[in-house]
Amino acid sequence: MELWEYPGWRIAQFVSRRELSVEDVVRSHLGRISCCEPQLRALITPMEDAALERAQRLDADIQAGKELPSPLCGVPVILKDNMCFQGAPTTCGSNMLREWHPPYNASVVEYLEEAGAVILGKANMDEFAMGSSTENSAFGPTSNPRNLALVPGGSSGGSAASVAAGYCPIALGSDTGGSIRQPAAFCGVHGMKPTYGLISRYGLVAFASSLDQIGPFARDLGDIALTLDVLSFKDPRDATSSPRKNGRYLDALERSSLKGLRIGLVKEYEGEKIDPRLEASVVHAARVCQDAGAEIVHVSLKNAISYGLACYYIIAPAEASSNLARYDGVRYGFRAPAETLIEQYCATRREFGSEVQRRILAGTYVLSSGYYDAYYLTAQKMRQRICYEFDQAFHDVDALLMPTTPTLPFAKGAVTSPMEMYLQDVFTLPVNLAGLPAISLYAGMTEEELPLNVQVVGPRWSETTLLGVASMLEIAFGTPPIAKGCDNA
Amino acid sequence: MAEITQKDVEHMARLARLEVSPEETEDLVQYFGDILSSFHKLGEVDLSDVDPFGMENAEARPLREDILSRDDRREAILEQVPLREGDYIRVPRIMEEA
Repeated sequence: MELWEYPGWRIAQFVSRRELSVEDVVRSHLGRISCCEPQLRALITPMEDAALERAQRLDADIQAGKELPSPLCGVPVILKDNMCFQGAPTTCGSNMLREWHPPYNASVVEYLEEAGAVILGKANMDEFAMGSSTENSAFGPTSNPRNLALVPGGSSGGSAASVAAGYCPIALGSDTGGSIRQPAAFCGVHGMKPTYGLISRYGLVAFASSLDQIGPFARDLGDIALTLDVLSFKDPRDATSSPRKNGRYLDALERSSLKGLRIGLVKEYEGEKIDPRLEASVVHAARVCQDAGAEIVHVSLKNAISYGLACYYIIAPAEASSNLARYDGVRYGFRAPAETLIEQYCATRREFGSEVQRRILAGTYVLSSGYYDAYYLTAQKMRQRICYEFDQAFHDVDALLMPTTPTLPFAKGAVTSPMEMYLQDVFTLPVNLAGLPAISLYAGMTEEELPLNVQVVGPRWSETTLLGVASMLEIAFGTPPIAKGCDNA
Repeated sequence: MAEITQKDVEHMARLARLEVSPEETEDLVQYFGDILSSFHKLGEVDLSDVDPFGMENAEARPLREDILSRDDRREAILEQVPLREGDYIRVPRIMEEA
């Protein structure tokens, strides 16, 4: 077994027992990257030199007998390129920020480094996190490492592909309407969106601030739990971050039964267009939970399923149109030459790709005078209704099982209509509207070796329960194997 | 609710300080038609009794004391400015010539 095939917690064990040097670990992963990257294109900025330098520094500290950072000592991590990391550009997959070097680190970067992690690079993404295929990146598309003809999902497609291909055991993404869970599902790895407020977003480039949340990708639930443990703090620099961390998430995986838990299956999904193989995964997952002692019941989420999409595509673009107003060429980022300031704004903002442009325009429309009540206010009311509906459901059950995506990964270039692309998020975005935690789990492969998925959703701050349920499912479905799509190409 | 025309798209673009080409405008008219008809689905539900901001979780919006804090990254932040003169940001002409 190569070093790049190990889970992060195992690597940290090797390093802290001095069985391996951090440099060995990092070189092994960098080797894997250089083998796959020409075909995969998962990274916008690889950071070999900085990673090796950091590895040697950690090794020197270990040699000198200094106290080791934990619990991710020597563990390679890749960041979605919308998280600020000093020493490399933070591009957001956009020409607007192609040359932008952030003057500070995101809080998650600080927490990871304090825990001993080594950042290997910045991952590709749909421009400003708007998309479900990573085809909207100004740096070109990323391939799915399970099958290079397919998309990796999005918007955190580079992070998901990196973990699936063995670039790193852990990567971070951000999830506004499904941007962690959907690419995790498409690449056949685990991906978790925690409760809104669990992880600080200081240094995460804003898309839709009432929905955005950072979370981990991994091929092993232990790594997901460990990463949550490292990242969950009340951060004074993010006013929405919460002190509500509940215990050590790693301990949640010790669960040996689901006795006493009630798990809900959502009725309305049965009428939606879902690939039958994904529907079967949910049924399979329900049986696993039942065998582990849980009681399975049916719940209704009519508003979330029928109206979530419309509600989301009013609220998210409205927030985006406001958040992206700052890209005007004045203070940082790209500036186009122009005669007057207004011309400079327009010429600079020409650099936005077409999906970003669409969302800014839609957001401008729903917020504009005369339409605000009809659209934005109505969507806010629907959002409250959806929150209430989830609250009611969680009076009856501890967690919900549903598919992450309605389809299996599709071919690059196959989905050209924006509306069709938006349907990818139908099962993930209601969770963001309500600020809930959810995890997308690897659930085995189809006959064509395409990854299956199942999503577990819980009430706010129920990460411990979710991880407990997930651990039972991981035993049944197995841990995600490394994707070897590049090895034979 | 009315259909979106090319003129409406151009108006939105002006408000958002975006430049759109005639071809893009055509695509955007189609896009607005599609997305607005999906929004109209929300009209199926009676939401008259819902307070749009009523149930928002107060713990997600905590208040803090209004106390100044120091930030030592002034120079690093100013270094990001595309065109700088000393501590000022240089921009093109703001007023139109008479």
